[in-house]
Amino acid sequence: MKNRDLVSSVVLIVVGGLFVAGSLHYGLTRRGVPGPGFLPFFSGLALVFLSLFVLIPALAQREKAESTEDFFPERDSFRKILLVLVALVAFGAAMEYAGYLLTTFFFMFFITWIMEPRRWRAFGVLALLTAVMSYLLFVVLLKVELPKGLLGF
Amino acid sequence: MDFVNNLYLALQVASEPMNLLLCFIGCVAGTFVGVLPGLGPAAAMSLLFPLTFKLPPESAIIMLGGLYYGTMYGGSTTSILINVPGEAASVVTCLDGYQMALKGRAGPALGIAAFGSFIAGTFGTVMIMVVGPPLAEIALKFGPPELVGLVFLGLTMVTYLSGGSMAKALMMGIVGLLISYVGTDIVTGRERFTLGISTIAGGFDIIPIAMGLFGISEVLMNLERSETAREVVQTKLYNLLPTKQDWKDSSGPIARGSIFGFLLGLIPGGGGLLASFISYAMEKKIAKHPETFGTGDIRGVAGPESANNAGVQGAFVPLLTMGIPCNVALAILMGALMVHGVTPGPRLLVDYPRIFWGVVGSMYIGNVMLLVLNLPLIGMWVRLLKVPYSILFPFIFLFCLIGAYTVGNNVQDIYIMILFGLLGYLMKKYDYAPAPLILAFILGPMFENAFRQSLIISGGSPLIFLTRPIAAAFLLISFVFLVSPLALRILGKQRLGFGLKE
Repeated sequence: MKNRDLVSSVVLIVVGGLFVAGSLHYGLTRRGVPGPGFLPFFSGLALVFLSLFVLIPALAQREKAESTEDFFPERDSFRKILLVLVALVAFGAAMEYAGYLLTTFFFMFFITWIMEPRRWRAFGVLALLTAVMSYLLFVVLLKVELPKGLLGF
Repeated sequence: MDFVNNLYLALQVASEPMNLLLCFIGCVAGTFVGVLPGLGPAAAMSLLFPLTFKLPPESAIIMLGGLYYGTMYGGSTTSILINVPGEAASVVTCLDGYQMALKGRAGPALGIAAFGSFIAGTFGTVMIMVVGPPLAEIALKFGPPELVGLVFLGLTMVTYLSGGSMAKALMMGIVGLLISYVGTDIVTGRERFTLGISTIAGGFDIIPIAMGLFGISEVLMNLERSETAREVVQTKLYNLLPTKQDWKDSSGPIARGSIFGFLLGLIPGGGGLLASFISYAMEKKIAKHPETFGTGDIRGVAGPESANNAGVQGAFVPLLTMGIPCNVALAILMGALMVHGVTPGPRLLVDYPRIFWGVVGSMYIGNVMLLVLNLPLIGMWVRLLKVPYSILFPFIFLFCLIGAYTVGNNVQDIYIMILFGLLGYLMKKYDYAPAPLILAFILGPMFENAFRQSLIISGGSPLIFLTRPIAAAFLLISFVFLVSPLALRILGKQRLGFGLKE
């Protein structure tokens, strides 16, 4: 855990520092009263300051024997998470080109396949049903505006 | 008499057919979410929120409110039947509830949980009617410095009660503030920190952030592990009604849970979770035979279940009277109100009585609906628990994706949500609490405006926060809480924390 604290506190120090730098650009005061940069400046400063509370103990403990706590509990986890994230982003990217129906179908199919590759036939049917039912629910019944693809649906 | 008039208005708004239907939908969805482990009220509210766009504000809030109390009812079902809390506030119910189920007494446990929740919920609603209007009047007299003090106190309490490292919780609160600064500066009209990206020229929306931080990240965490079958207690669930003896034992805990639950709900960061923990501890302390707690004592179910429902009602008070959300779910509710053009604050009661009293009325009706939904339909909820997560999670994702898209009808919000989903996932991994972040995000603009206005009023002097007594009092209490963990550590003692990592 200590190693992680090291990383996270450094990251947050950088973030805080960026806001401090940025806020100077926007001006801390204007004619004697706080400007757009005032609170961001002090917030960023506070973040950097507080990060030290995490960083310093982490540095101090670094010498001790590291408990080998894995970041991912299972060997598969990283691959699964990565693929899921890719799928989510792909959903966003594909929506306006392929339209809601197709995108949903492929998304659902792919996602369930990642987790349980062997049951792809059943999942294919499920994906199809989901895409159609949700289309009916959201677009037809609730009149939510979801994109049509280049193919017109 | 004002009380009667208000009650009339409350029930009138709440019983309009559209509102009745929405309350019902909210309650069902809430129970559903509460029953399912791994999906909390915050995620559920952000999921359903986009569906409320086309509705009038009071209807939207009625539905979302129903969802919120619904989760409290539903959460107890999983706690009792599979020893897994449906959401954070039901953790305590696992202790004795599951033991009762193992002894074949799942029925009475579920029964007393439902009835206790109903009694407490109704009590809480009455209290809101009594306490709300006077509080709003007091809050109306607050000027910018008092508001600064109040918001600061609220944020401090939330970080204090977050459990885990206080420094880390504070850091997340500050990150929330920083995110809220991104966008257009209200006072000068100039863009800040947007790096020229047009999507965030107006700042971030709460919905993609909430969905990402609480919905997507939760699923990601769950996906890491392959699923193990959930063991549902296979008792025949007849005889849901608690015995006379059960009622006798439970009446004290229910009463105490209701009162203290409501009071604890008023504290920012508290709400249902804090209330249920304290109720359990209290009941154990005053019991004549405390050894039975943990082995299936019905008092360990009656007290906390009542407390968490009363706590939920209590938590509404600061939001409805002062515009301060006490916890994440209410922060999202507040975001929903703001999207509908209503900014909650002391003027809510005056400017939008339909919203205020409509919500109160729907609390009464919602509690009745939930009582009816929970007891007879237990069988259905139990069957739901058997659905494997591998079927469930794609739907959660889908709802999130659709929801994020419909915020502004553009795809960038989906990307923002995914980004915050990743962020939330990393935060859980690195042990940072998400609640302070989202609360600070939503209170950030209010805080900054009030702060800058205060300094304009005082001509640049920060002493205004000390010379105005109410503001000074709030700030003083906040500092006590901020500093106490450090002080206690120096004295070698532990601070109060509940591990609220929701």
